[in-house]
Amino acid sequence: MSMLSEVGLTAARELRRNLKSAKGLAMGALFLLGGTGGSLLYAQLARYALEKMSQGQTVPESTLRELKLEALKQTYPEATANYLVDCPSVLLLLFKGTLLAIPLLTLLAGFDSISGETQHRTLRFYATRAERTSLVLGKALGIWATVGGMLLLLHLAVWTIALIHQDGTGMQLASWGPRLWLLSLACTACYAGLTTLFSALFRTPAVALFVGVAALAGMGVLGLILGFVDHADKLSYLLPGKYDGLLISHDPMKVLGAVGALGTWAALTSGTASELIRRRDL
Amino acid sequence: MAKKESFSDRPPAVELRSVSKYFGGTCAVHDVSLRIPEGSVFGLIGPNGAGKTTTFSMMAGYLTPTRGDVFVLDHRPEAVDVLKGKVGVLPQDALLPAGEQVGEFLVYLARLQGIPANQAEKAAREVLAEVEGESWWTTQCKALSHGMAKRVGIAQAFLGDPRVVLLDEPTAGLDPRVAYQIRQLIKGRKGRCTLVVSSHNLQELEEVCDHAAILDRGQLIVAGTMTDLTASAEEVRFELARGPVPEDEVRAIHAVKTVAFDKQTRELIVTFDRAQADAEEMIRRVLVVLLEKEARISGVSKGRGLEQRVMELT
Repeated sequence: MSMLSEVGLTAARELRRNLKSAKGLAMGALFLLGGTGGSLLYAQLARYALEKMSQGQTVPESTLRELKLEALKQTYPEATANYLVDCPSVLLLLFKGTLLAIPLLTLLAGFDSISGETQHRTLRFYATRAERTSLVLGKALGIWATVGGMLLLLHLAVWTIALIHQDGTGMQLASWGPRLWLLSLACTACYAGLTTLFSALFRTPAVALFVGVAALAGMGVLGLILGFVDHADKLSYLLPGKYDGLLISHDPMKVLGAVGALGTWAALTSGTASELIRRRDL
Repeated sequence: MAKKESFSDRPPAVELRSVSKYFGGTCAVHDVSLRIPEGSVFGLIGPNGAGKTTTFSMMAGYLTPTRGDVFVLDHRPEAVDVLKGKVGVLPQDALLPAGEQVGEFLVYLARLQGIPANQAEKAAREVLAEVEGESWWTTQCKALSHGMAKRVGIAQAFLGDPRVVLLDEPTAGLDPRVAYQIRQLIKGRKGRCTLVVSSHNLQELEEVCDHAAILDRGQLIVAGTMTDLTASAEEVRFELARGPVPEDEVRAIHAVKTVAFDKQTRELIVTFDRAQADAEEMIRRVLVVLLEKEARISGVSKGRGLEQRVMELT
């Protein structure tokens, strides 16, 4: 059996295990409820604001577009704002919201994937049947697929909300919806790798979770500090959070670069986790 | 007539060469060399802290030796790609995955070790039936009792008919009935594979094993066939009730080397030249003399018994 098959089998098991567990179900339900609830609320507020602004008059599409562009320019550079102006706003909000939630969601989904099985030595049942590297990579892939699946469900729900509330045309939804979901998968891959590393570092799941949360918070704070320090901005490229903004850049090369950087993070962290488990006494 | 091949002539299924294992500054296993013949049922014996589980874990590839080499079927245990499906292991303290059903767990293991998808469920059901656990297929692992979990553990070790099966304390903590069933399972596998069994239960090991190694404080004390270890091929014992003890008459029997009578246990211990008579023949000869001299016999046994041997050595 090839390493690829071992990885695939392990990833499928991890996905099944997550989706069947009480933790996975509760997390998924909360994530979906929170995401769809927030999106619904935003859609209602946007409609209310528009109705109040138009005072019963029909606002021309071009005016709406101008208003949206101005709003985007408050947050993004002009070129990016011009690029994003066609994106249904609820989708953009969903994307930004999920980027914030992904690190913690991924950590919660996978902190015990390896630590739980080393703590109880369950990994011993598999270690004589598959390369340890395959097991770890399979688990990383499984965590990624679990969170990716949750994101897809949320995206589908929000695409439906956008359609109902006529936030963007069908074409815009079809163009931006899958694109933003795929970009959020790149971000998820990075944090799935990190989660796998935290889980491989410790034999006690609670410690892996605690250290993981502390590390994520530390990276967030460090990113903020670096943003304020002159000449230190380049250092922030070492942190995965830096690439969130670049994922929706108007420049395809920047998007590719960000995806590549997040992929590198995923490869490095899951590779380190594999090596740790490969060398360690079980 | 061709010489009958003995186990010891066979190539080793598992071989340890000067293996040591340290945990920090603590030496758990020191310079152990061992050859486990293919097809044998091999017992790893020793008191707590003897290094049985550490030795076992190095054979299974869970632990890496600090020094020395371990070979399983001529490969290092970490060569999983070569050994997968050929080695089955029951680890001592490993817990089954709590949230999984027994069936899906076994099917996953079967697939992982290379059994094709269309045969994995059949193979899993077969080994589960072998441990009389057919009805547990959809039971969650966390709902299994200790005995049931142990049997599922044994089932997974037997998946795919491996050439080498390592069982660490297969009957520890089980009630006598389940322990008996597991011994029967192990006996049922005799001849189909090489079995390495680590256990505290010396009677159990004596019953199922044909070879054994005795470890104590991380060192190998002795290893060999069970017959050699228990001296059952050169010693017979007669437990006598109150009455005559015809030591001199027994000493005069042909092929007898020594005769001793232990007054405390009231055992007449007879050693003999195994080249001239086997144990059964010697029992017959001694019994004839004892009955003739009207000795009252309570029991007869071959050799010292593994328990006594271990007590002497550790």
